Amino acid sequence: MASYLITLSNSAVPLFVGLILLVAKFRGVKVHEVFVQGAAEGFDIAIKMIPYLVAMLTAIGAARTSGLLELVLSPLQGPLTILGFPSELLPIALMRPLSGSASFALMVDALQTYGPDSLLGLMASTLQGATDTTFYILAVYFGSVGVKRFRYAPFVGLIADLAGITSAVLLARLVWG
Amino acid sequence: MLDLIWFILLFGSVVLSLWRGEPEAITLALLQEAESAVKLTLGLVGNMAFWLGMLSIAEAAGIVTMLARIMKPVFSFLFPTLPTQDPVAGAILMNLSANMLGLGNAATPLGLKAMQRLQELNPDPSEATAAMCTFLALNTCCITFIPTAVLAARAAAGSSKPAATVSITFLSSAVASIVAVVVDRWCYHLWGRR
Repeated sequence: MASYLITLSNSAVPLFVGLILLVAKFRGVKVHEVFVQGAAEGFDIAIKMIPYLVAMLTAIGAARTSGLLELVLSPLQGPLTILGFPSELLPIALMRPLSGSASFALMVDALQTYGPDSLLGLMASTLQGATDTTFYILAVYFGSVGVKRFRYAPFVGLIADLAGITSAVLLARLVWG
Repeated sequence: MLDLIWFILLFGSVVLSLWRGEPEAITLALLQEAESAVKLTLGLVGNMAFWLGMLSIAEAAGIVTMLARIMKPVFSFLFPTLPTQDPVAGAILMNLSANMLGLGNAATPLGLKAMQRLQELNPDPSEATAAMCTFLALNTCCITFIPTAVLAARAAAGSSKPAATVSITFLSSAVASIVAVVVDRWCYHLWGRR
């Protein structure tokens, strides 16, 4: 099952590329010429997001190193534990919307500490996979076009994260608990 | 709002680390994070170029228009403010498909391309439109069929069933996406349709 899924996800890129090329050739598109025209835009878009990414990553990195993030997030621990959220996984859940690499590292740590097939290990894997790094996406997507006022987008993203994390924990308890 | 959060995060961290007597750690963190942001972006340039090139081919071959035509009902439900005939529909749908297939490397360039077109349709370039908010909401919790990186990490940690979490991950991400669409629609009605 796992090896089948990994093969499938590994084949997704070549299948995607092959299909596009086949249809394009069939319709008489000048594939090389069109590809180069499109690819030329890549650099500009990437360069435009650098300042936004630097601003966000330095602030989150500083808050993590100094212990400020822990301080700000600690009031959430009490209520969440009372609601049945396993306290061992709180750091992963709280880090997930802020930093994908940090929460991934915490997940790997949990897999090693509790075992990948334990309830906590399964929950940690589900948490990590089910939601995305909301703040990274906001900074990069809005940053690349220069939008400064995000309106309600961060709010919606965080509510969705909360929903994803809650259902991951509840479903994991239901299936493996 | 972002201005204040950013100030608090950075200023608070600086003050806290000075008060705790650990100024070296934060100095290092600031410089390292700044460097990693640039490395991350530069690492993305090649990817961006490749996937935007593929997107151009898909557009020229009419694949994007075809996808937009098939998904038109879903699209006009999710993005009532956008014209369905516009190329933006294709770019958005390509980004969401790449996300669902777990092609993170392809999803970002396609998403940024879609943002560019959304920005061209934006009457006030400094403020997010309703369509942008919906698009980002879908991106922050996109339905995940195959969590590739997690699968690999579970296998590496010696799991006897690395794929055990696939179905639950799919369900949780579906719940998150439904909640995102509902809350987004609610905000859209509450805070004006732009």
